[in-house]
Amino acid sequence: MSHSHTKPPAPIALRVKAIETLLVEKGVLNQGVVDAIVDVFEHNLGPKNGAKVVAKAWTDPAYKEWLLKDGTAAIESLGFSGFQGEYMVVVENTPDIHNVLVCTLCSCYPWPVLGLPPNWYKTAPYRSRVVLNPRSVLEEFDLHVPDNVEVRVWDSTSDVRYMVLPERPKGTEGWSEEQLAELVTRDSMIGTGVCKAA
Amino acid sequence: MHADPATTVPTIDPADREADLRLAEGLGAPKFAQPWHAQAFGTAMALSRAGLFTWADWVDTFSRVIREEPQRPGEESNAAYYRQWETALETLLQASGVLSDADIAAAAEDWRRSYLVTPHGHPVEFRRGLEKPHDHDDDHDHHHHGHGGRRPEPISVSKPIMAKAG
Repeated sequence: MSHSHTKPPAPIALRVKAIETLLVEKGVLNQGVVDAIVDVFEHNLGPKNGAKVVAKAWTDPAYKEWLLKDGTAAIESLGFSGFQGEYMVVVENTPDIHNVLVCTLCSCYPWPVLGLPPNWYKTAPYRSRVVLNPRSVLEEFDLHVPDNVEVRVWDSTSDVRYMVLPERPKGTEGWSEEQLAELVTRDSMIGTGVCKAA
Repeated sequence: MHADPATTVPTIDPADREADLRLAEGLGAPKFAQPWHAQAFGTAMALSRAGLFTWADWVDTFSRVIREEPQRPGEESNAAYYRQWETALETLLQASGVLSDADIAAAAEDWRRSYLVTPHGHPVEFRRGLEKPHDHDDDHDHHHHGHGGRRPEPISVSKPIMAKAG
């Protein structure tokens, strides 16, 4: 190409660059703090953290009791904590109760244990329909909850984040925490899926 | 194409699910699709941690923007989400008096000009006071036809062939 220049990004991207530049110039934010946050989200937070929490709860009854009573502290004890000091509540799936998470207002999500939410979690159809008709939404995820099982939908907010403790797959007696963690899927901790079979 | 809202059930896009599965790697979480998504996300969180607003304020503003400026026809859900995120960020910055719309617009224009004067392949550094570029504008390929105010003309013309009256 004869023109030697760099194509600018989209106008909205330029505005975001402008905002960070100005905030650093004004001393509102320190240089690098935004990148540091992004780096943590891209490299340190994700469902593998949640899977460790779940696997520990399956193998350690005292930890499970603590997790269900004080999710924030029990999760933090494994090194996973929130940016805004989110208050974490863990809800347990049983043969009689299936839990599923939503944020009806926006996209509040248990970042420390699951990282960034999937796209569908942020969309209007999921946010509205899972509240009104959770069973049919779960069917769309190929999750067939028996009619005799109660479905509980939990609405996350700015200060309370939920996580589902899924049921331990059958046939995993004697498995190590590491082996069990491999069976825990992201969707099983949101409640739109179950764990992999052993 | 007019869907009746009373009978149409909005779908949860399975393609979104597939995209997420492809993105799932490392810790199994989706990554940011665009650098500016990450920058907007990190900036909001950094401002909350710096005490400019509480996260509850953020959720209040962000959820109001989501309600009032929903996904547009033809707009992808993730693009809509970060458009709403950026609007909420500007709203809170302007409300707190830290940055005005004009401040942001001026610095955005400085960034645009900084790109345009940077040779391709070099890192772009933010510069102020660059002249308004007149020779190129970013989104078009320029073939400078029609210089000198003349109307552009075709490079060749094949006239219609008239059948001879017999």
